[in-house]
Amino acid sequence: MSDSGISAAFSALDRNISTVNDNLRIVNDNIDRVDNKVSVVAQLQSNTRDELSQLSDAFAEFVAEYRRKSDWQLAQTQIVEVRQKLEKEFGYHDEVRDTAIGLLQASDLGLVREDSARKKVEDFVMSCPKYWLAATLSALVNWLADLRELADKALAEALKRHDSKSSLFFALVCRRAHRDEASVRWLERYFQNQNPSAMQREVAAMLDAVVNGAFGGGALTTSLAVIDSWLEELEEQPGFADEQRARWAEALDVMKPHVAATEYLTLRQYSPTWIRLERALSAARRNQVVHDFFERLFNGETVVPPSLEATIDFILKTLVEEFDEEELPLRRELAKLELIIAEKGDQDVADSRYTSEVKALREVTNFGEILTNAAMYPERSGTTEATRRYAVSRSQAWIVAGFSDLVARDRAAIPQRVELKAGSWTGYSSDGTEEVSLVGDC
Amino acid sequence: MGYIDAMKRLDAGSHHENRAELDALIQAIAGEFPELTIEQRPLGIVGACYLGAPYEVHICDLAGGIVEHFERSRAMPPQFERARSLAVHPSYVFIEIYPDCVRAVGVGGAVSVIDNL
Repeated sequence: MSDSGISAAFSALDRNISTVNDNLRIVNDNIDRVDNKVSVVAQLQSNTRDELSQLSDAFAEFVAEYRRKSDWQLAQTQIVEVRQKLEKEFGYHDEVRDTAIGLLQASDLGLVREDSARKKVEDFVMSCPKYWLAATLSALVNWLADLRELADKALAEALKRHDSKSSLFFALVCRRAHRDEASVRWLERYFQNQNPSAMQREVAAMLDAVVNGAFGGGALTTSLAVIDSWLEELEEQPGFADEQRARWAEALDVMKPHVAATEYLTLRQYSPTWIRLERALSAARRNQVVHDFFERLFNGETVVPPSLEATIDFILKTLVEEFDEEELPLRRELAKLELIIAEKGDQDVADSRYTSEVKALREVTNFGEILTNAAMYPERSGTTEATRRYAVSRSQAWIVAGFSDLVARDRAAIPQRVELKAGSWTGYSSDGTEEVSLVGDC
Repeated sequence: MGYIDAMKRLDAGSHHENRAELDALIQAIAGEFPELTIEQRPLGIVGACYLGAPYEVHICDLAGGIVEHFERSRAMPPQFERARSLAVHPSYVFIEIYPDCVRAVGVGGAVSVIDNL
């Protein structure tokens, strides 16, 4: 090939190389463009993921709120039905209860004719064929009318229906009438009926009567000695002390306050550990609530009934106003619905309060549990301040042990480190001292 | 050698070199539970470690017959790790680990029980 031919070939080659270079540049530009688009898509994907996560949280909260609202509305409807059922099936019991104390007081003053009282009580006996209080009242009005044969028959029926409640009722009525010897004998009979492992709930009322001195000093000493022997018997049973400390731990655990939704807003939003932190905070705040509870119980004034009659009337009132065993299933249902309504439909909190508080409504229990109920749930077990103090002082060792178990459980559950999450960034802190490095990292 | 003294000696360090001393130490701790059958005895004991940084906790594994010290960043075996927060808490001397519960022995000797931790 001539020189000019070679030169032309090189020129053509140069042009081709230049074209290839141009094309490569275009390809590179295109790759950059695609790269940018991929970054944009990745960012969009990350944003979408965050939005989806927020949406999912919002949806979960919406579902929970909807469920709470539905449960709350359902409880509102059901509570009406339960109340109607109680009224229908046991409305007469309420009337017997309302009448009992009034009858005693009216007969003191001679305001009611014996025959009208007997007529009223006869109606009760017929309307409430299983209720102990109706038969007990019948024995009482016949005794007041000096109709011994009828009184004995009614008494036998009353003891058949409920021996210990009737014995306690007569112990109180005799004491009220200053028939002390008869009163102590009824009290003895009442004690003989008790089994510390399976006690009737009205023992709480008896405990109240004894601690308030309703039976006099001698009976108080005898009764407290009997109580000590019950507890010694129970403490010998394997597992009893553990059960008591667990019961107290459960009762005190319920005092955990809610953490307000306005507290620690940043942690709520940015820390996946928040739920555990909130639980730990609530548990720590419970300690002050427990402290205040016992301090109030022991430092507050005790309302001393003004006279023996007033004391006995008060205990009698508690005894006769107590629900009968037959009513308990409905009363329990009512208590549960009331808790769901009080907790604005929050089933978990209502269940936890129910498990702990509703035990005060169980038919038969051991004496250790009666002490716990007397101290912790006075409105449900019907105990006065003096009895609550006695119950707490007799339960001191179990309370301290149960509380220390609770504290240890809560200390073990405190998160060792807290996760912080903002967008795609995640950091950890164990005690807050990492602030500077975390800020730098973020 | 008492139980609590034996636990405190875990930090003395000499048993690292002396197997006989380590066995005597484990024996003293196990001897604290003579009335219990082997199944009822604790699997081991966890306590705060005072050897100094980087160590945080130690375990005396009664079943395995070993003592081991753990740094802050290193997890203990799971059955012991669950008691870590309690072990480093100043209110407790050491924590006994059982299959179904842990028992935290307080500074004053009181024992707190936590089921199913």
